[in-house]
Amino acid sequence: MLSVPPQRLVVPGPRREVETLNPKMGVHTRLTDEVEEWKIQQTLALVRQMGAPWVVEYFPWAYYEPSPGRYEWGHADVVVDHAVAQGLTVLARIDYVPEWARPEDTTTRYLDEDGYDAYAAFVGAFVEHFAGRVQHVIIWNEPNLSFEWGYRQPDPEAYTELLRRAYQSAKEADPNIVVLAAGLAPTLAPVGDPWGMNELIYLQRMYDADAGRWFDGLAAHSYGLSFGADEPPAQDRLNWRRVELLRDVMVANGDAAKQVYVTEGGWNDHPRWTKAVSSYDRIQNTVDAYEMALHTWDWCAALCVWAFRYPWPARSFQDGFTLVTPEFVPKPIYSELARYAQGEPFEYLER
Amino acid sequence: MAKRSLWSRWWPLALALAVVAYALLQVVGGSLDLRLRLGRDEVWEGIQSRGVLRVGMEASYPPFEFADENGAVQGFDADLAHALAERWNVEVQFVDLHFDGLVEALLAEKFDLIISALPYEERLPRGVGYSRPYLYLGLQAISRVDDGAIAGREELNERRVAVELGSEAHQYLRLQNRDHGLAVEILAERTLEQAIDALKQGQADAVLCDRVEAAPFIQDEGLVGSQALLTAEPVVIAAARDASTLLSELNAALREMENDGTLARLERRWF
Repeated sequence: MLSVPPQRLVVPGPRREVETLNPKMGVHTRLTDEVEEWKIQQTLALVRQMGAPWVVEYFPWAYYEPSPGRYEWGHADVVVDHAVAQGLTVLARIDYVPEWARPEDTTTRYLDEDGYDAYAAFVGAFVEHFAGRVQHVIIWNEPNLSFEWGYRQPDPEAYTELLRRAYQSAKEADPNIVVLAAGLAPTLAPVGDPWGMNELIYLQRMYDADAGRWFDGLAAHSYGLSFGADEPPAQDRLNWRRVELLRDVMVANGDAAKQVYVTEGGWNDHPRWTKAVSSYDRIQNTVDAYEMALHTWDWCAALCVWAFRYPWPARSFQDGFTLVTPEFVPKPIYSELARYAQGEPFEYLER
Repeated sequence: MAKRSLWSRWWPLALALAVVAYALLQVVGGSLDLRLRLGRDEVWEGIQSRGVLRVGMEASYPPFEFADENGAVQGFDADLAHALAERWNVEVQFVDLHFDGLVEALLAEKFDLIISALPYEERLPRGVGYSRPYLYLGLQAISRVDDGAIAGREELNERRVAVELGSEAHQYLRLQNRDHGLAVEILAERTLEQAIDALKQGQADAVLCDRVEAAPFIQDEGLVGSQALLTAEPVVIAAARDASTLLSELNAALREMENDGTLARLERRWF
């Protein structure tokens, strides 16, 4: 008996289909640090049941390449296999620099040009390993923020070089892979600000550095903060529709044919954050945003709100973004979005 | 015997090597990170030499920290930072940064302390040290004075409890009903004010909400708050873990402020 290997208790099962009236609905899951497989499966099953066919998930480079050329895909395989079994399309965000690829006393977002080839090689290895299961990769995260760029001044030209190398490596591994340029943080910070750079300026400088050749679609982050979904965009305001200004930059640079993937966004209902709204308004705004993506934003392929569930409570404003608690108690916003996706009457929302 | 004779033959050489090693450490010590072993805390020394305590926070969480109409940082945590600085005879400089970036910025030495209603996190981020709690947040029950104060979670069982739709209190009660054997009738109202109205009009037996949100309502003479919080979340200050002197001075100062009533005064002022 002892020679019989243990049975796997949680298996992905046959592939399911997502039933939804809005095929652009998505969420950013946060399974990176979720240890127990049944919780991974349960999370992704709840996403499917809500009616969202898209998920963004974070795959930290440092977790999966602990030493140069040695890949450990175990946890990533579990996440991806369960997502695929639930009928979900995975957008894979890749960053977080291992210690071996950066100087001592630097942060996990620090990568100088000497490390670009190592990152690109990892992206290529990731694409090759997940061929047929993951069709989209996101190259880095919010490089227009100083802290996401290793506490250096944001550098669109340097990021473009990183993007170029990652793109080429990914395409060598799988010519059909869809490479997305990083979602930029919405910010009004001017050029020279120590903490970040206005994302509209940053994207234009990427185009000036010829970045248009090195991505197939643009990831975007879009937060409504205290404004409703209909609030018009403006250069000097952060709101939900600000992403339309990013789109304008793409069009102005001849990139209208490419799609935008909103890989983070939405509203927060923390009771004390001045940039939050009430839970009721959060539900209302999120439904409006999904409707906008479906009917108005023909250039938007997917809208993935931040964040579906955390493995444990953040005990901060971050908890105000989630749809389901760590204990798998669905919030009212989850059940209302499920009703929206299935075309059923709302329980709380008056419409 | 053999070992002892060997030792007696080589101990002068061992002593000489130890002296040389000590001398070498003295020479190169400046280039090695020996702060901990030598008992130095460069963060604390920096505060003293600059005469400035640099405090990181996101000034968007009233009543803890927020910018007033002139852009000045106000709130419980701002007052706490000033009280610390006064004890240490230095000035305060606030660095207003998005909450998500505070820990990384602390570790990158952009400031000396995070004072930003920071929740205690048992999965302590690497390199971070926490102070003792200076405050507890959590859920508080409100009831009518005539009915008396709610003593604990069990008293909510089989009663009508109004909450703001989607709030932490709402999720807490759902979890209690699902996993912890309670049968609370939850009345999810669109706003907290509507939940309070339901309580006052007798449609609900209690309201459950965040302690800070409860404060203005339990000043109403017809309502009373539970003495104990139904959940207790410690709020702490963060410093770099190797800032041992700073952490020690910080804890001593917080203990003093607890004993001399400073923290209680801040609560009364801001909640």
